[in-house]
Amino acid sequence: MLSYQKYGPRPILEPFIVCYYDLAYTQGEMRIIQSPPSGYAAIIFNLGDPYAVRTAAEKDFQTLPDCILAGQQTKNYRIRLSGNVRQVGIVFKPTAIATLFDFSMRAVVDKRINLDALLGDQTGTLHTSLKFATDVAGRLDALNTYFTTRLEGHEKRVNVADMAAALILENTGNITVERLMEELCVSRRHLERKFLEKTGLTPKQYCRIVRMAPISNQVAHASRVDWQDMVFQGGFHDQNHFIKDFKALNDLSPGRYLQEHAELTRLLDKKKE
Amino acid sequence: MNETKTSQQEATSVLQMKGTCIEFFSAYQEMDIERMLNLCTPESIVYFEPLDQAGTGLVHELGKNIWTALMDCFPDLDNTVTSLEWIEAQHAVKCRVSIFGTQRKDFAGIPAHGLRFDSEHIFIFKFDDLSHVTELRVLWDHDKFVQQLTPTVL
Repeated sequence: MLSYQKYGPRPILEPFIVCYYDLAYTQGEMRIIQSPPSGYAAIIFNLGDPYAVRTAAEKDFQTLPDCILAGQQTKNYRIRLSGNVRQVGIVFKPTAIATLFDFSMRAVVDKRINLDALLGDQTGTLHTSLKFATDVAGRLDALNTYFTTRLEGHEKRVNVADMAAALILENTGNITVERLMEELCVSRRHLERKFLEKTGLTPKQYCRIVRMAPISNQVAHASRVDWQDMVFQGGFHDQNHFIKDFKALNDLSPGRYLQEHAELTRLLDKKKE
Repeated sequence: MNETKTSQQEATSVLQMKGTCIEFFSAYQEMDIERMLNLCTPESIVYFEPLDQAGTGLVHELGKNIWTALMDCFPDLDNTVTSLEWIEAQHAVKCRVSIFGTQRKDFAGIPAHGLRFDSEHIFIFKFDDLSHVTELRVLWDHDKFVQQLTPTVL
């Protein structure tokens, strides 16, 4: 059985945290789930059996540490679940980790690193409190409390990258770098440098991911797709550009992607019944 | 009834904050630094974004120094506010302002050639409950600014 629940953060954390999630996979045989780049970074705590991930650049699945920081993903990746998996994740706005933790995300693109690199000793403490919390409310409380403490002094780390990321999300990636420069009154050099530091990506790369993320999601959860509608929705000039970008991010053609996700969708639907 | 009162109060407070911004740029236009500073709390912070770390400091220290130098080096310094926008999510007022002037003295390592700059700026103001500025973020295209003040070599 696979279940996935999302929860909102405390209002004061809303500018930084998109959501918390709880993923449980219980007593299941081995299952591989594909995930497209979402445009967000995440911290993930594993409270159950180990699980593994394989990125497009890797030949084999790598078993992950229990507490990880996942940077921006530029390619589809696969998660292998088996046994009893329980993940508690925190999905961050694209620049939030850099702003809250004064941490450059440049080295974390397409990577999952041990959370110690970001939180140090506090990793273990937080992992323990999540593990021993009796219910979801207890886990959310521990996370809200911890991340609220990280707000102190973040103002001095806010910069044009935060504003650019907000504009890109607001426009679902359909915004040019020139328009960002114009809106924010900054030079391309300054914008790109700040954006790279905070997300690990250029604004242009990030726009492409944000443009494709909702489309990939829609395809993954649909049984039939109106491709012309997708081309229009994503603001692509034509179907060729759409397919090229889709393949670049998902490593699969849109049709093949739809097919591969049908099985997972059925599994989640069965759980809802 | 209470809700209406609250939203009315909020609207008034936004107007007051926008009023402070207009007052700030009016003082800037008149090159009255004291008046500009009086609108900001003693602890207020300014971020001159393109200058990175060197551009972060107290309004009453760094801000004062930079504006004084600007007014000294660009004696005809002037500005036009083109838009004022309340940003609910940031609890801030965003102002789009054109700043322009002619360079008569060397400024921040840029030698004076008598050239004129005209640069779009964004000022983002945050306030306390009394509509005093507590934080000011200034953005501009610094590359373009330098370019305008540098003679073209043919």
